[in-house]
Amino acid sequence: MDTLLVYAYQVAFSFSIFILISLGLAVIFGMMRVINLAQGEFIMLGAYACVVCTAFGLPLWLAVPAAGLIVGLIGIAVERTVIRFLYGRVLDTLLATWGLSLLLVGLVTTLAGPQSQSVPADLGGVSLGGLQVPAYGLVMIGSALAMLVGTYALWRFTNLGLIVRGTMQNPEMARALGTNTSMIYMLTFGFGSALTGLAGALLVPLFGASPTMGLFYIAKAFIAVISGGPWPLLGTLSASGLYGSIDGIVSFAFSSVLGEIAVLLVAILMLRLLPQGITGRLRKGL
Amino acid sequence: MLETKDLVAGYGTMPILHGLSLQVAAGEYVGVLGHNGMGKTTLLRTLIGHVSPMAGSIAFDGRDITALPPNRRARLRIGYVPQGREIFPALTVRENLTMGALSGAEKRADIVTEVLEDFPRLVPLLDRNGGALSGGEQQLLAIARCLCGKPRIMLLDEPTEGIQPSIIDEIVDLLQALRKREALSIVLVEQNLDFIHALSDRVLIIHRGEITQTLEPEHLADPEVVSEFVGMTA
Repeated sequence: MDTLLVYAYQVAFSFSIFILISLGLAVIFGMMRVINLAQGEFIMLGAYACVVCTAFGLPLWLAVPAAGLIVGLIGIAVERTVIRFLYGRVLDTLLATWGLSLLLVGLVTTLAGPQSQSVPADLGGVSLGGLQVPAYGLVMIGSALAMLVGTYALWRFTNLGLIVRGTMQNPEMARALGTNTSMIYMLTFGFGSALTGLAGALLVPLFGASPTMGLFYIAKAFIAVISGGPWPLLGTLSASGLYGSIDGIVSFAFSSVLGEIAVLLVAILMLRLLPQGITGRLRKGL
Repeated sequence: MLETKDLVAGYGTMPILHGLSLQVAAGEYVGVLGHNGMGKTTLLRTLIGHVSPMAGSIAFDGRDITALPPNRRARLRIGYVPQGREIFPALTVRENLTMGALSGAEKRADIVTEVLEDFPRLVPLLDRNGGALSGGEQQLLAIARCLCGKPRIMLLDEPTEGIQPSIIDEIVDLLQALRKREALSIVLVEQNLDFIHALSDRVLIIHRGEITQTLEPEHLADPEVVSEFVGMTA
């Protein structure tokens, strides 16, 4: 029973990390079809925004949403200056966002130095089946679920969410009906960026902030969103559940390196078995 | 109400409309008849703003809208039902309609209920995905979605294309009822003679990007006129 509880925690924890790092990409790549290679660097910016906000005296629970807001605004600036000219131009988008990613890494290294920085969460530990787990892990799990549910509710139940979904499906028709699609694209990209920034900030107390941290996350994020399939939110949820379980179980039973290897092997297998993604056969979804 | 002057428009550097002028009065139903490739669809795409004219002007209610993007034109109550219907496939029927209502001039979601009164066939389908509907149902949905924007003029691009006859009759009845009840104008691009005959106050013949002739609808019953202008599609 105790071991089961610990496994459950490990799975939930890995799951929440997958959700956090891929949710923003589910919006930006899954919904908008923008292949943003700077996605990892948006996570990094969120982490640094959190570090800077706490350095200015903000408590962590305020620094995290502030970081989301800051990265959301950065995302809007990036969309207006770069991305909006590149919709539908895959190769150009790849080059531009790759360049942006290099630029951001260089910029942050110059400003903050190459060393890792962290912010302590100071929440202590919780005893779970005889094992001490950091209480902050539970905060992360809760935050990931809240972000997922919040995004789903926003898309599914609000007028803005409806207009966003319609615009992503057929921008030309949405325009002919009266929607300012350029504004919708900007807001959606900003929202995806904000989710990404939030994720980066939430990761800081456990994993710290360093200029090259984005590299660790971007591959996993793309793997989760791509194997999720055509319905970005449901797909990201199910893919995160799958990879989170594998990573959590294998990492805890053997080592975290083996956990990562197992995830990659399953991802390759998934692409072979379900080339349309996990949600590829769903007729309805989000 | 809607007026174009010497409109030149097309794709790339290739003009398809060569100085096209037309006027549509308030409450008037105008049919545009012509062969494939004569510029019918390009005309409607230029009127809604998907195609920017190279020369000439478009005025709506005396206001020059030549430079306005499609979303601003839609807000001025110019409605557009494109060829191929362009239903949002992964939105439900209700969401497709709500999208029209929220994007349009009045931005009220309750317009959907009002519009649905004229579309009883759509009511049982409200929770279905738009992409799962038949062509005829999609065409009704496209017209209903357009009406949710409370248009004063509706641009209709070949609504009978690939649609079963029973729904074509339904669309005719519906548009005739709307004409009696509301001050709606229509520009109808068609190849279906019966349909255009049943609905148009005036029929313009479009040939190589220009309006070459205006016909009263009763002329359409004359087989010679028909063969002259429509040829193979008759």
